[in-house]
Amino acid sequence: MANEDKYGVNGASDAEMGNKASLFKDDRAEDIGAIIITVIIVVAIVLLKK
Amino acid sequence: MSSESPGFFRQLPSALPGLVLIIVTMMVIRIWIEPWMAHTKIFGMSKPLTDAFHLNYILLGIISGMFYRNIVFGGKIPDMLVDGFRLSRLMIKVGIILLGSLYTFSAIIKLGFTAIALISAFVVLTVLMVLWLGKAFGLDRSMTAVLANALSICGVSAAVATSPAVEAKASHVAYAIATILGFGVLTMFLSPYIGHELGLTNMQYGAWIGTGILNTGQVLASALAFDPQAGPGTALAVAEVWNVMRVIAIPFAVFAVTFWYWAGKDAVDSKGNRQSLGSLLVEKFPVFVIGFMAMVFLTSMGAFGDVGVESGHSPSAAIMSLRVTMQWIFGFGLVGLGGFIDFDELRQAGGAPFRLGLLVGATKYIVALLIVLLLKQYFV
Amino acid sequence: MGFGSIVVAVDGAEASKDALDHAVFLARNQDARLLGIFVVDSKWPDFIGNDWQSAKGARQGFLDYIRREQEEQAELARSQFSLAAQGMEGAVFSVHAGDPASVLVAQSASAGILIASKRVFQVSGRPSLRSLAARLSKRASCPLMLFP
Repeated sequence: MANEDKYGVNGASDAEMGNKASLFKDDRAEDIGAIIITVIIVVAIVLLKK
Repeated sequence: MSSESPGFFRQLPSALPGLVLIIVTMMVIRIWIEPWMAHTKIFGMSKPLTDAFHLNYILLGIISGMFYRNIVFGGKIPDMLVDGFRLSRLMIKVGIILLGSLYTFSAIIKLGFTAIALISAFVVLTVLMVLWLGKAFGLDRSMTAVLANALSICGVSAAVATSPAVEAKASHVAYAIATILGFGVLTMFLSPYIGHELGLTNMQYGAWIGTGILNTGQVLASALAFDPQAGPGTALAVAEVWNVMRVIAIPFAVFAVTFWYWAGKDAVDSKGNRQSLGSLLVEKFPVFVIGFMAMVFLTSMGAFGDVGVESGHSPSAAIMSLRVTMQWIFGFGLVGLGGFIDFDELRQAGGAPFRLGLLVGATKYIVALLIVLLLKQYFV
Repeated sequence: MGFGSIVVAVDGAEASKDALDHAVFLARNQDARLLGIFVVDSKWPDFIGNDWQSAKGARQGFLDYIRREQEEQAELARSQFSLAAQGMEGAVFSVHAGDPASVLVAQSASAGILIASKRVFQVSGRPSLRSLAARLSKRASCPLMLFP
Protein backbone atom coordinates (compact mmCIF):
# COMPACT_ATOMS: atom_id res chain seq x y z
CA MET A 1 0.00 0.00 0.00
CA ALA A 2 1.24 3.44 -0.86
CA ASN A 3 0.76 6.73 0.88
CA GLU A 4 0.16 9.97 -0.86
CA ASP A 5 -0.25 13.17 1.10
CA LYS A 6 -2.00 16.10 -0.42
CA TYR A 7 -1.43 18.40 2.51
CA GLY A 8 1.39 19.13 4.87
CA VAL A 9 4.16 17.42 2.93
CA ASN A 10 3.68 18.68 -0.59
CA GLY A 11 0.34 20.24 -0.39
CA ALA A 12 -2.00 22.96 0.68
CA SER A 13 -0.76 26.03 2.48
CA ASP A 14 -2.70 27.52 5.36
CA ALA A 15 -4.35 29.90 2.94
CA GLU A 16 -5.56 27.10 0.68
CA MET A 17 -6.74 25.33 3.76
CA GLY A 18 -8.76 28.40 4.54
CA ASN A 19 -7.26 28.03 7.95
CA LYS A 20 -6.59 31.72 8.31
CA ALA A 21 -9.46 33.37 10.10
CA SER A 22 -8.54 36.90 9.21
CA LEU A 23 -6.33 39.11 7.10
CA PHE A 24 -4.40 39.84 10.25
CA LYS A 25 -1.68 37.87 11.94
CA ASP A 26 -3.95 37.23 14.91
CA ASP A 27 -6.88 38.72 16.74
CA ARG A 28 -4.76 41.14 18.69
CA ALA A 29 -3.30 42.52 15.47
CA GLU A 30 -6.86 42.96 14.24
CA ASP A 31 -7.71 44.86 17.44
CA ILE A 32 -4.71 47.12 17.00
CA GLY A 33 -5.64 47.61 13.35
CA ALA A 34 -9.12 48.67 14.45
CA ILE A 35 -7.64 51.17 16.90
CA ILE A 36 -5.35 52.63 14.23
CA ILE A 37 -8.23 53.00 11.75
CA THR A 38 -10.35 54.65 14.42
CA VAL A 39 -7.58 57.12 15.20
CA ILE A 40 -7.36 58.01 11.51
CA ILE A 41 -11.14 58.50 11.27
CA VAL A 42 -11.29 60.57 14.45
CA VAL A 43 -8.37 62.80 13.49
CA ALA A 44 -9.86 63.34 10.03
CA ILE A 45 -13.25 64.28 11.45
CA VAL A 46 -11.84 66.60 14.11
CA LEU A 47 -9.65 68.37 11.53
CA LEU A 48 -12.48 68.72 9.02
CA LYS A 49 -15.08 69.95 11.47
CA LYS A 50 -13.03 72.47 13.41
CA MET B 1 2.22 50.11 12.00
CA SER B 2 3.13 47.62 9.35
CA SER B 3 5.19 45.63 11.82
CA GLU B 4 2.00 44.52 13.58
CA SER B 5 0.30 43.32 10.47
CA PRO B 6 2.69 42.73 7.59
CA GLY B 7 0.22 40.36 6.00
CA PHE B 8 -2.58 42.87 6.15
CA PHE B 9 -1.36 45.32 3.53
CA ARG B 10 -0.22 42.57 1.23
CA GLN B 11 -3.62 40.97 1.46
CA LEU B 12 -5.67 44.15 1.27
CA PRO B 13 -6.11 44.03 -2.54
CA SER B 14 -7.66 40.57 -2.26
CA ALA B 15 -10.23 42.05 0.10
CA LEU B 16 -11.31 44.76 -2.29
CA PRO B 17 -14.00 42.90 -4.32
CA GLY B 18 -15.84 41.77 -1.19
CA LEU B 19 -15.44 45.17 0.40
CA VAL B 20 -16.89 46.89 -2.67
CA LEU B 21 -19.88 44.56 -2.67
CA ILE B 22 -20.52 45.27 1.02
CA ILE B 23 -20.23 49.02 0.61
CA VAL B 24 -22.38 49.17 -2.52
CA THR B 25 -25.04 47.02 -0.83
CA MET B 26 -25.22 49.31 2.18
CA MET B 27 -25.31 52.43 0.00
CA VAL B 28 -28.16 51.06 -2.09
CA ILE B 29 -30.06 50.19 1.09
CA ARG B 30 -29.58 53.57 2.76
CA ILE B 31 -29.87 55.83 -0.28
CA TRP B 32 -32.68 54.14 -2.20
CA ILE B 33 -34.40 51.36 -0.29
CA GLU B 34 -34.86 53.11 3.07
CA PRO B 35 -36.47 56.26 1.64
CA TRP B 36 -38.64 54.07 -0.56
CA MET B 37 -39.80 52.01 2.45
CA ALA B 38 -40.67 55.18 4.34
CA HIS B 39 -43.12 56.33 1.68
CA THR B 40 -44.40 53.25 -0.02
CA LYS B 41 -47.94 51.95 0.15
CA ILE B 42 -48.65 48.22 -0.08
CA PHE B 43 -52.20 46.83 -0.02
CA GLY B 44 -53.50 50.20 1.09
CA MET B 45 -51.23 50.26 4.17
CA SER B 46 -48.87 53.17 4.25
CA LYS B 47 -45.26 52.25 5.05
CA PRO B 48 -46.04 48.65 6.11
CA LEU B 49 -42.40 47.58 5.93
CA THR B 50 -41.19 50.10 8.47
CA ASP B 51 -44.29 50.27 10.68
CA ALA B 52 -45.38 46.66 10.94
CA PHE B 53 -42.10 44.81 10.36
CA HIS B 54 -39.77 47.47 11.75
CA LEU B 55 -37.35 46.90 8.90
CA ASN B 56 -34.46 49.34 8.70
CA TYR B 57 -31.02 49.46 7.14
CA ILE B 58 -29.49 47.26 9.82
CA LEU B 59 -31.91 44.38 9.39
CA LEU B 60 -31.83 44.82 5.62
CA GLY B 61 -28.03 44.73 5.73
CA ILE B 62 -27.96 41.46 7.64
CA ILE B 63 -30.67 40.01 5.43
CA SER B 64 -28.74 40.93 2.28
CA GLY B 65 -25.58 39.31 3.71
CA MET B 66 -27.55 36.15 4.40
CA PHE B 67 -29.17 36.41 0.96
CA TYR B 68 -25.77 36.64 -0.76
CA ARG B 69 -24.39 33.61 0.99
CA ASN B 70 -27.36 31.29 1.01
CA ILE B 71 -29.23 32.18 -2.15
CA VAL B 72 -27.05 34.09 -4.61
CA PHE B 73 -23.87 32.10 -4.01
CA GLY B 74 -25.52 28.82 -3.02
CA GLY B 75 -24.13 28.24 0.46
CA LYS B 76 -20.67 29.79 0.42
CA ILE B 77 -19.05 33.16 -0.10
CA PRO B 78 -16.93 32.85 -3.29
CA ASP B 79 -13.15 32.87 -2.78
CA MET B 80 -12.90 36.17 -4.56
CA LEU B 81 -15.18 37.90 -2.08
CA VAL B 82 -14.43 36.08 1.14
CA ASP B 83 -11.48 38.21 2.26
CA GLY B 84 -13.62 41.33 2.05
CA PHE B 85 -16.35 39.70 4.09
CA ARG B 86 -13.79 38.71 6.69
CA LEU B 87 -13.02 42.40 7.15
CA SER B 88 -16.48 42.82 8.68
CA ARG B 89 -15.02 41.93 12.07
CA LEU B 90 -12.53 44.77 11.75
CA MET B 91 -15.33 47.18 10.87
CA ILE B 92 -17.45 46.20 13.84
CA LYS B 93 -14.46 46.67 16.12
CA VAL B 94 -13.86 50.13 14.66
CA GLY B 95 -17.54 50.89 15.22
CA ILE B 96 -17.39 49.74 18.83
CA ILE B 97 -14.36 51.93 19.53
CA LEU B 98 -16.12 54.92 17.93
CA LEU B 99 -19.11 54.12 20.14
CA GLY B 100 -17.02 55.30 23.07
CA SER B 101 -17.86 58.82 21.93
CA LEU B 102 -21.47 58.32 23.06
CA TYR B 103 -20.57 58.18 26.73
CA THR B 104 -19.10 60.28 29.45
CA PHE B 105 -17.53 58.69 32.50
CA SER B 106 -20.48 59.49 34.75
CA ALA B 107 -22.91 57.96 32.25
CA ILE B 108 -20.88 54.79 31.78
CA ILE B 109 -20.41 54.27 35.51
CA LYS B 110 -24.12 54.67 36.14
CA LEU B 111 -25.03 52.24 33.37
CA GLY B 112 -22.09 50.00 34.15
CA PHE B 113 -23.25 49.20 37.67
CA THR B 114 -26.69 48.13 36.49
CA ALA B 115 -25.07 46.15 33.71
CA ILE B 116 -22.62 44.38 36.01
CA ALA B 117 -25.37 43.52 38.50
CA LEU B 118 -27.70 42.07 35.85
CA ILE B 119 -24.95 40.32 33.90
CA SER B 120 -23.31 38.68 36.91
CA ALA B 121 -26.65 37.45 38.22
CA PHE B 122 -27.50 35.98 34.83
CA VAL B 123 -24.05 34.51 34.24
CA VAL B 124 -24.09 32.66 37.55
CA LEU B 125 -27.66 31.44 37.12
CA THR B 126 -27.11 30.36 33.52
CA VAL B 127 -23.93 28.46 34.34
CA LEU B 128 -25.64 26.66 37.22
CA MET B 129 -28.63 25.86 35.03
CA VAL B 130 -26.42 24.47 32.27
CA LEU B 131 -24.32 22.38 34.67
CA TRP B 132 -27.47 20.94 36.19
CA LEU B 133 -29.25 20.33 32.89
CA GLY B 134 -26.07 19.01 31.31
CA LYS B 135 -26.11 16.21 33.88
CA ALA B 136 -29.83 15.65 33.38
CA PHE B 137 -29.45 15.48 29.59
CA GLY B 138 -26.43 13.20 29.92
CA LEU B 139 -23.99 15.48 28.10
CA ASP B 140 -20.29 14.93 28.66
CA ARG B 141 -18.32 17.36 30.79
CA SER B 142 -16.48 19.16 28.00
CA MET B 143 -19.69 19.75 26.06
CA THR B 144 -21.38 21.04 29.21
CA ALA B 145 -18.48 23.39 29.88
CA VAL B 146 -18.57 24.84 26.37
CA LEU B 147 -22.34 25.34 26.52
CA ALA B 148 -22.13 26.90 29.99
CA ASN B 149 -19.86 29.65 28.74
CA ALA B 150 -21.49 30.05 25.37
CA LEU B 151 -24.95 30.45 26.85
CA SER B 152 -23.91 32.67 29.73
CA ILE B 153 -21.36 35.13 28.31
CA CYS B 154 -21.24 35.78 24.62
CA GLY B 155 -22.08 32.92 22.42
CA VAL B 156 -19.67 31.88 19.73
CA SER B 157 -16.71 33.85 21.09
CA ALA B 158 -17.00 32.20 24.48
CA ALA B 159 -17.45 28.77 22.91
CA VAL B 160 -14.35 29.28 20.80
CA ALA B 161 -12.33 30.57 23.75
CA THR B 162 -13.38 27.70 26.02
CA SER B 163 -13.22 24.65 23.74
CA PRO B 164 -9.46 24.00 23.63
CA ALA B 165 -9.15 24.46 27.41
CA VAL B 166 -11.73 21.78 28.12
CA GLU B 167 -10.76 19.38 25.30
CA ALA B 168 -14.09 19.67 23.51
CA LYS B 169 -14.53 17.60 20.35
CA ALA B 170 -14.84 19.54 17.11
CA SER B 171 -18.21 18.07 16.24
CA HIS B 172 -19.54 18.94 19.70
CA VAL B 173 -18.43 22.55 19.43
CA ALA B 174 -19.96 22.69 15.98
CA TYR B 175 -23.38 21.79 17.33
CA ALA B 176 -23.06 24.21 20.23
CA ILE B 177 -22.17 27.01 17.81
CA ALA B 178 -24.98 26.16 15.41
CA THR B 179 -27.45 26.19 18.30
CA ILE B 180 -26.26 29.55 19.56
CA LEU B 181 -26.26 31.08 16.11
CA GLY B 182 -29.68 29.74 15.25
CA PHE B 183 -31.16 31.05 18.46
CA GLY B 184 -29.36 34.34 17.96
CA VAL B 185 -30.66 34.84 14.43
CA LEU B 186 -34.17 34.20 15.70
CA THR B 187 -33.92 36.64 18.62
CA MET B 188 -32.22 39.23 16.44
CA PHE B 189 -35.31 39.52 14.24
CA LEU B 190 -37.85 38.89 16.99
CA SER B 191 -36.59 41.32 19.63
CA PRO B 192 -37.14 44.64 17.82
CA TYR B 193 -40.67 43.53 17.06
CA ILE B 194 -41.41 42.53 20.67
CA GLY B 195 -39.75 45.70 21.93
CA HIS B 196 -41.95 47.91 19.79
CA GLU B 197 -45.09 45.96 20.60
CA LEU B 198 -44.47 46.27 24.34
CA GLY B 199 -43.56 49.93 23.96
CA LEU B 200 -40.20 49.49 25.69
CA THR B 201 -37.97 52.53 26.12
CA ASN B 202 -34.45 52.49 24.71
CA MET B 203 -33.06 51.89 28.20
CA GLN B 204 -35.42 48.99 28.91
CA TYR B 205 -34.85 47.44 25.52
CA GLY B 206 -31.07 47.79 25.73
CA ALA B 207 -30.97 46.22 29.18
CA TRP B 208 -33.18 43.36 28.05
CA ILE B 209 -31.32 42.35 24.90
CA GLY B 210 -27.92 43.08 26.48
CA THR B 211 -28.79 40.44 29.06
CA GLY B 212 -30.99 38.09 27.05
CA ILE B 213 -29.31 37.68 23.65
CA LEU B 214 -26.37 35.31 23.54
CA ASN B 215 -24.12 36.61 20.78
CA THR B 216 -22.74 40.11 21.13
CA GLY B 217 -22.82 40.70 17.39
CA GLN B 218 -26.52 40.01 17.51
CA VAL B 219 -27.01 42.27 20.51
CA LEU B 220 -25.48 45.05 18.46
CA ALA B 221 -27.66 44.26 15.46
CA SER B 222 -30.93 44.03 17.35
CA ALA B 223 -30.19 47.24 19.27
CA LEU B 224 -29.72 49.09 16.00
CA ALA B 225 -32.72 47.31 14.53
CA PHE B 226 -34.88 48.67 17.37
CA ASP B 227 -33.57 52.20 17.03
CA PRO B 228 -31.12 52.91 14.20
CA GLN B 229 -29.94 56.15 15.80
CA ALA B 230 -26.53 56.35 17.44
CA GLY B 231 -26.51 58.78 20.33
CA PRO B 232 -26.42 58.89 24.12
CA GLY B 233 -29.35 57.01 25.63
CA THR B 234 -30.25 55.11 22.47
CA ALA B 235 -30.80 51.35 22.59
CA LEU B 236 -27.39 51.00 20.96
CA ALA B 237 -25.62 53.04 23.64
CA VAL B 238 -27.29 51.09 26.45
CA ALA B 239 -26.88 47.62 24.99
CA GLU B 240 -23.25 48.22 24.11
CA VAL B 241 -22.31 48.89 27.75
CA TRP B 242 -23.71 45.45 28.45
CA ASN B 243 -21.71 44.09 25.53
CA VAL B 244 -18.43 45.58 26.68
CA MET B 245 -18.95 44.23 30.19
CA ARG B 246 -19.60 40.77 28.78
CA VAL B 247 -16.53 40.87 26.57
CA ILE B 248 -14.41 41.75 29.58
CA ALA B 249 -15.95 38.82 31.44
CA ILE B 250 -14.77 36.19 28.89
CA PRO B 251 -11.35 35.41 30.41
CA PHE B 252 -12.85 35.07 33.89
CA ALA B 253 -15.57 32.75 32.65
CA VAL B 254 -13.08 30.63 30.71
CA PHE B 255 -11.00 30.34 33.88
CA ALA B 256 -13.95 29.38 36.07
CA VAL B 257 -15.37 26.76 33.72
CA THR B 258 -11.94 25.31 32.94
CA PHE B 259 -11.37 25.03 36.68
CA TRP B 260 -14.67 23.18 37.09
CA TYR B 261 -13.82 20.86 34.21
CA TRP B 262 -10.37 19.86 35.43
CA ALA B 263 -11.46 19.64 39.06
CA GLY B 264 -13.80 16.83 38.06
CA LYS B 265 -11.18 14.85 36.14
CA ASP B 266 -8.67 12.35 37.43
CA ALA B 267 -5.41 13.97 38.37
CA VAL B 268 -3.54 11.43 36.28
CA ASP B 269 -5.34 12.52 33.21
CA SER B 270 -4.47 16.22 33.35
CA LYS B 271 -1.51 17.07 31.18
CA GLY B 272 -0.86 20.47 32.68
CA ASN B 273 -3.18 22.15 30.21
CA ARG B 274 -4.61 24.36 32.89
CA GLN B 275 -3.77 28.02 32.59
CA SER B 276 -3.57 30.52 35.40
CA LEU B 277 -6.04 33.40 35.51
CA GLY B 278 -3.18 35.81 34.88
CA SER B 279 -2.06 34.17 31.65
CA LEU B 280 -5.67 33.82 30.49
CA LEU B 281 -6.21 37.55 31.09
CA VAL B 282 -3.13 38.45 29.08
CA GLU B 283 -4.00 36.03 26.32
CA LYS B 284 -7.76 36.45 26.05
CA PHE B 285 -8.28 40.12 26.89
CA PRO B 286 -9.67 41.92 23.86
CA VAL B 287 -7.50 44.96 23.24
CA PHE B 288 -10.13 46.91 21.32
CA VAL B 289 -11.93 47.44 24.63
CA ILE B 290 -8.99 49.64 25.62
CA GLY B 291 -9.64 51.70 22.49
CA PHE B 292 -13.26 52.03 23.54
CA MET B 293 -12.22 53.22 27.01
CA ALA B 294 -9.79 55.72 25.49
CA MET B 295 -12.62 57.08 23.38
CA VAL B 296 -14.83 57.48 26.48
CA PHE B 297 -11.96 59.30 28.16
CA LEU B 298 -11.42 61.68 25.24
CA THR B 299 -15.14 62.41 25.01
CA SER B 300 -15.41 63.07 28.74
CA MET B 301 -12.46 65.46 28.50
CA GLY B 302 -14.34 67.35 25.81
CA ALA B 303 -11.91 66.53 23.01
CA PHE B 304 -14.72 66.51 20.46
CA GLY B 305 -16.75 69.39 21.86
CA ASP B 306 -20.20 69.23 23.41
CA VAL B 307 -21.72 65.74 23.62
CA GLY B 308 -25.20 67.21 24.07
CA VAL B 309 -26.31 65.25 27.13
CA GLU B 310 -26.14 67.40 30.25
CA SER B 311 -25.85 70.87 28.70
CA GLY B 312 -29.01 70.64 26.63
CA HIS B 313 -27.14 72.11 23.64
CA SER B 314 -27.12 70.21 20.43
CA PRO B 315 -23.97 68.13 20.05
CA SER B 316 -20.93 69.53 18.26
CA ALA B 317 -20.34 69.02 14.54
CA ALA B 318 -17.48 66.58 15.23
CA ILE B 319 -19.67 64.45 17.51
CA MET B 320 -22.44 64.39 14.91
CA SER B 321 -20.04 63.25 12.17
CA LEU B 322 -18.68 60.56 14.45
CA ARG B 323 -22.21 59.23 14.93
CA VAL B 324 -22.96 59.23 11.21
CA THR B 325 -19.66 57.46 10.51
CA MET B 326 -20.46 54.90 13.17
CA GLN B 327 -23.84 54.07 11.61
CA TRP B 328 -22.25 53.50 8.22
CA ILE B 329 -19.47 51.36 9.63
CA PHE B 330 -21.89 49.20 11.60
CA GLY B 331 -24.00 48.93 8.47
CA PHE B 332 -21.03 47.62 6.48
CA GLY B 333 -19.93 45.29 9.27
CA LEU B 334 -23.36 43.74 9.65
CA VAL B 335 -23.72 42.99 5.92
CA GLY B 336 -20.49 41.02 6.31
CA LEU B 337 -21.73 39.36 9.47
CA GLY B 338 -24.91 38.26 7.69
CA GLY B 339 -22.66 36.69 5.05
CA PHE B 340 -21.42 34.20 7.64
CA ILE B 341 -24.86 32.93 8.60
CA ASP B 342 -25.27 29.60 6.83
CA PHE B 343 -28.79 28.16 6.72
CA ASP B 344 -27.46 24.69 5.96
CA GLU B 345 -25.41 24.61 9.16
CA LEU B 346 -28.29 25.96 11.24
CA ARG B 347 -30.78 23.50 9.80
CA GLN B 348 -28.61 20.55 10.79
CA ALA B 349 -28.28 21.58 14.43
CA GLY B 350 -29.91 19.05 16.68
CA GLY B 351 -29.59 16.54 19.46
CA ALA B 352 -29.26 17.05 23.18
CA PRO B 353 -27.00 20.14 22.97
CA PHE B 354 -29.60 21.78 20.76
CA ARG B 355 -32.46 21.06 23.15
CA LEU B 356 -30.44 22.23 26.14
CA GLY B 357 -29.28 25.37 24.35
CA LEU B 358 -32.76 26.24 23.24
CA LEU B 359 -34.20 25.65 26.71
CA VAL B 360 -31.59 27.72 28.51
CA GLY B 361 -31.47 30.42 25.83
CA ALA B 362 -35.24 30.86 25.81
CA THR B 363 -35.44 30.88 29.61
CA LYS B 364 -32.78 33.54 29.80
CA TYR B 365 -34.40 35.63 27.07
CA ILE B 366 -37.83 35.54 28.74
CA VAL B 367 -36.61 36.00 32.33
CA ALA B 368 -34.51 38.98 31.27
CA LEU B 369 -37.60 40.56 29.69
CA LEU B 370 -39.70 39.88 32.81
CA ILE B 371 -37.06 41.42 35.07
CA VAL B 372 -36.83 44.52 32.91
CA LEU B 373 -40.62 44.83 32.94
CA LEU B 374 -40.79 44.30 36.72
CA LEU B 375 -38.11 46.86 37.42
CA LYS B 376 -39.51 49.24 34.86
CA GLN B 377 -39.07 52.33 36.99
CA TYR B 378 -35.31 51.72 37.28
CA PHE B 379 -34.87 51.52 33.52
CA VAL B 380 -36.31 54.73 32.19
CA MET C 1 -17.03 -5.00 -16.51
CA GLY C 2 -14.73 -3.32 -13.98
CA PHE C 3 -14.77 -0.04 -12.18
CA GLY C 4 -11.20 0.92 -12.99
CA SER C 5 -10.63 2.83 -9.82
CA ILE C 6 -12.60 2.77 -6.60
CA VAL C 7 -12.65 5.81 -4.33
CA VAL C 8 -13.67 5.35 -0.71
CA ALA C 9 -14.12 8.02 1.97
CA VAL C 10 -12.39 6.94 5.19
CA ASP C 11 -12.59 8.82 8.51
CA GLY C 12 -11.07 6.34 10.92
CA ALA C 13 -14.29 5.99 12.88
CA GLU C 14 -16.87 3.22 13.09
CA ALA C 15 -18.98 5.00 10.47
CA SER C 16 -16.64 4.35 7.56
CA LYS C 17 -15.87 0.71 8.40
CA ASP C 18 -18.56 -1.02 6.35
CA ALA C 19 -18.00 1.22 3.36
CA LEU C 20 -14.25 0.58 3.53
CA ASP C 21 -14.62 -3.18 3.85
CA HIS C 22 -16.92 -3.27 0.91
CA ALA C 23 -14.62 -1.12 -1.18
CA VAL C 24 -11.70 -3.42 -0.39
CA PHE C 25 -13.82 -6.46 -1.28
CA LEU C 26 -14.80 -4.91 -4.61
CA ALA C 27 -11.25 -3.87 -5.41
CA ARG C 28 -9.87 -7.34 -4.70
CA ASN C 29 -12.55 -9.00 -6.81
CA GLN C 30 -12.28 -6.63 -9.72
CA ASP C 31 -8.56 -6.13 -9.49
CA ALA C 32 -9.26 -2.38 -9.41
CA ARG C 33 -7.21 0.51 -8.07
CA LEU C 34 -8.35 1.50 -4.55
CA LEU C 35 -8.07 5.09 -3.35
CA GLY C 36 -8.88 5.93 0.28
CA ILE C 37 -9.57 9.58 1.05
CA PHE C 38 -9.70 11.66 4.20
CA VAL C 39 -10.72 15.31 3.92
CA VAL C 40 -9.54 17.88 6.44
CA ASP C 41 -12.50 20.25 6.66
CA SER C 42 -11.39 23.75 5.68
CA LYS C 43 -14.74 25.43 6.30
CA TRP C 44 -14.28 26.02 10.02
CA PRO C 45 -13.07 29.66 9.75
CA ASP C 46 -16.25 30.56 7.89
CA PHE C 47 -18.34 28.62 10.32
CA ILE C 48 -17.13 30.68 13.27
CA GLY C 49 -17.09 33.86 11.19
CA ASN C 50 -19.74 35.47 13.35
CA ASP C 51 -17.36 35.64 16.23
CA TRP C 52 -16.00 39.17 15.97
CA GLN C 53 -14.62 39.99 19.38
CA SER C 54 -12.27 37.17 20.27
CA ALA C 55 -9.17 38.18 22.08
CA LYS C 56 -5.66 37.42 20.93
CA GLY C 57 -5.25 33.90 19.76
CA ALA C 58 -8.72 32.77 20.80
CA ARG C 59 -10.03 32.28 17.27
CA GLN C 60 -6.80 31.13 15.67
CA GLY C 61 -6.06 29.00 18.71
CA PHE C 62 -9.40 27.32 18.25
CA LEU C 63 -8.81 26.73 14.54
CA ASP C 64 -5.39 25.23 15.25
CA TYR C 65 -6.94 23.06 17.92
CA ILE C 66 -9.61 21.78 15.52
CA ARG C 67 -6.97 21.25 12.84
CA ARG C 68 -4.88 19.13 15.21
CA GLU C 69 -7.92 17.05 16.04
CA GLN C 70 -8.57 16.49 12.35
CA GLU C 71 -4.96 15.53 11.70
CA GLU C 72 -5.20 12.94 14.45
CA GLN C 73 -8.39 11.72 12.83
CA ALA C 74 -6.55 11.55 9.50
CA GLU C 75 -3.94 9.29 11.10
CA LEU C 76 -6.68 7.04 12.45
CA ALA C 77 -8.18 6.91 8.98
CA ARG C 78 -4.79 6.05 7.50
CA SER C 79 -4.29 3.12 9.84
CA GLN C 80 -7.89 1.98 9.36
CA PHE C 81 -7.26 1.99 5.62
CA SER C 82 -3.91 0.23 5.68
CA LEU C 83 -5.32 -2.46 7.94
CA ALA C 84 -8.24 -3.12 5.63
CA ALA C 85 -6.19 -2.93 2.43
CA GLN C 86 -3.30 -5.06 3.65
CA GLY C 87 -1.28 -6.63 0.87
CA MET C 88 -3.09 -4.87 -1.93
CA GLU C 89 -0.99 -3.66 -4.83
CA GLY C 90 -2.89 -0.63 -6.07
CA ALA C 91 -4.11 0.76 -2.76
CA VAL C 92 -3.39 4.42 -2.09
CA PHE C 93 -4.44 6.58 0.83
CA SER C 94 -4.46 10.35 0.55
CA VAL C 95 -5.40 13.28 2.74
CA HIS C 96 -7.00 16.33 1.17
CA ALA C 97 -8.08 19.70 2.48
CA GLY C 98 -11.25 21.51 1.53
CA ASP C 99 -14.99 21.20 1.80
CA PRO C 100 -15.53 17.41 2.12
CA ALA C 101 -18.44 17.34 -0.31
CA SER C 102 -16.61 19.35 -2.99
CA VAL C 103 -13.44 17.27 -2.65
CA LEU C 104 -15.37 14.03 -3.07
CA VAL C 105 -17.30 15.45 -6.02
CA ALA C 106 -14.00 16.45 -7.64
CA GLN C 107 -12.65 12.95 -7.05
CA SER C 108 -15.72 11.41 -8.62
CA ALA C 109 -14.71 12.88 -11.99
CA SER C 110 -11.90 10.34 -12.37
CA ALA C 111 -13.33 7.51 -10.28
CA GLY C 112 -15.12 4.38 -11.46
CA ILE C 113 -17.23 4.33 -8.32
CA LEU C 114 -17.40 6.38 -5.12
CA ILE C 115 -18.11 4.55 -1.90
CA ALA C 116 -18.93 6.34 1.36
CA SER C 117 -20.91 6.13 4.54
CA LYS C 118 -23.67 8.69 5.00
CA ARG C 119 -22.09 9.52 8.35
CA VAL C 120 -18.53 9.84 7.09
CA PHE C 121 -16.47 12.85 8.35
CA GLN C 122 -19.02 13.71 10.97
CA VAL C 123 -16.57 12.83 13.77
CA SER C 124 -14.73 16.10 13.32
CA GLY C 125 -17.07 18.05 11.11
CA ARG C 126 -19.59 20.82 11.03
CA PRO C 127 -23.34 20.18 11.24
CA SER C 128 -23.91 20.59 7.50
CA LEU C 129 -21.78 17.50 6.80
CA ARG C 130 -24.91 15.59 7.71
CA SER C 131 -26.17 16.49 4.26
CA LEU C 132 -22.95 15.26 2.63
CA ALA C 133 -24.67 12.22 1.14
CA ALA C 134 -27.47 14.34 -0.30
CA ARG C 135 -24.98 16.69 -1.93
CA LEU C 136 -22.96 13.79 -3.30
CA SER C 137 -25.98 12.15 -4.86
CA LYS C 138 -26.82 15.44 -6.55
CA ARG C 139 -23.40 16.27 -7.90
CA ALA C 140 -21.23 13.16 -8.15
CA SER C 141 -20.27 12.32 -11.72
CA CYS C 142 -19.67 8.59 -11.18
CA PRO C 143 -21.70 5.72 -9.71
CA LEU C 144 -22.21 6.22 -5.98
CA MET C 145 -22.55 3.60 -3.28
CA LEU C 146 -23.79 4.86 0.07
CA PHE C 147 -23.68 3.00 3.35
CA PRO C 148 -25.77 3.93 6.37
